Amino acid sequence: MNNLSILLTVGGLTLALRALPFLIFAKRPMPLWLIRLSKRIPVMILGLLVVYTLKDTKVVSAPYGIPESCALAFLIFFQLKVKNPLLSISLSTALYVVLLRVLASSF
Amino acid sequence: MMIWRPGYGKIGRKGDVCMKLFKKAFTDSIPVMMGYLVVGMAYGVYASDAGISAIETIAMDFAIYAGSMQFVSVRLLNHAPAFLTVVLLTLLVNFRHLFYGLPLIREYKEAKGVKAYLIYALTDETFALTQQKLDLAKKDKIRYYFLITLLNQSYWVIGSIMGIVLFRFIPFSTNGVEFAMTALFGVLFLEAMRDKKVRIDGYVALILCVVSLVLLPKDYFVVIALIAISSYIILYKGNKIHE
Repeated sequence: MNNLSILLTVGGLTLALRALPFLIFAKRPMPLWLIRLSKRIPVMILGLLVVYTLKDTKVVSAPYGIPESCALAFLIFFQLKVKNPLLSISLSTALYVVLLRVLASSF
Repeated sequence: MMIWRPGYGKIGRKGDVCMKLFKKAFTDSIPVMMGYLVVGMAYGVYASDAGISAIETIAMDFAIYAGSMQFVSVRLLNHAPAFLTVVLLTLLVNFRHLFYGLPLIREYKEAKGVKAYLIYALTDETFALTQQKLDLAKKDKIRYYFLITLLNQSYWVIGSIMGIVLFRFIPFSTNGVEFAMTALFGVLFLEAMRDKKVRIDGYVALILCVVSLVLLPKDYFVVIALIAISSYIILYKGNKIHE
């Protein structure tokens, strides 16, 4: 395949995946099991995305997932107590960056 | 003395609402900005390093606009892959997008002119932002969704342009700022978990994901986890509150 057809194929399929639920249920009603699925799946997808973004964490070799664990623990604690999303996200990210650097030089 | 001016007052109020909405959309999307600028930059550098032209690199931001798939596509370009390879890879990497529309069908129903754009640009992060509790009127909600969708894509495009430019001047290293993405999903997950009705589902999702990540091939993680999650929802009907 040449580059243009690759772009169009990947782009077209991605768009199709995104549009399919909207197209299928534009007119006809969703079956009950799918309504239930659509109501319950958001929180589960958010959980999945957390794990997904952490899937390449090194657990068995240095830095042993320490920056990830610490930043996540801080994030959970801070967000539950202070309830300020922006602050929780920026502070935990800062903590992660610092830990990554500090640990990289100490292992 | 107050003078009643038809029109002006209305426009003023509408302008205020739009400004407020924009401020909210911008503030809410700042975590995405941090993530998209950094990951977009990494993408720009990666593509340039692989010998992809600047035009093709940016064309992918519009033709594909899906972070991980764009990284995969960089490896496909200039290598004349088989059609089936391209199709299967895309379906595998982007399978999760099939699920993002389901909770949004009703939300986006009234979107009319911007609906196609909202659907086209529905990334992980944009989906996540649409799942917060919004205290807005229906029309404003659509405006808000449009703004966050548009802002997010512009961060991504700007990030990848920065990457292309940076590649020519500075040797590049991502330095951990991409954790903002994890943190964004984490915060939205925690906020969703305040609702006691969904708490079990949330814990089950985490357990299913971690188990499949540890036990099963990592390349298929998202597909396996999504199938596990869907089967769990269908098999375990839970309490009637969900009906």
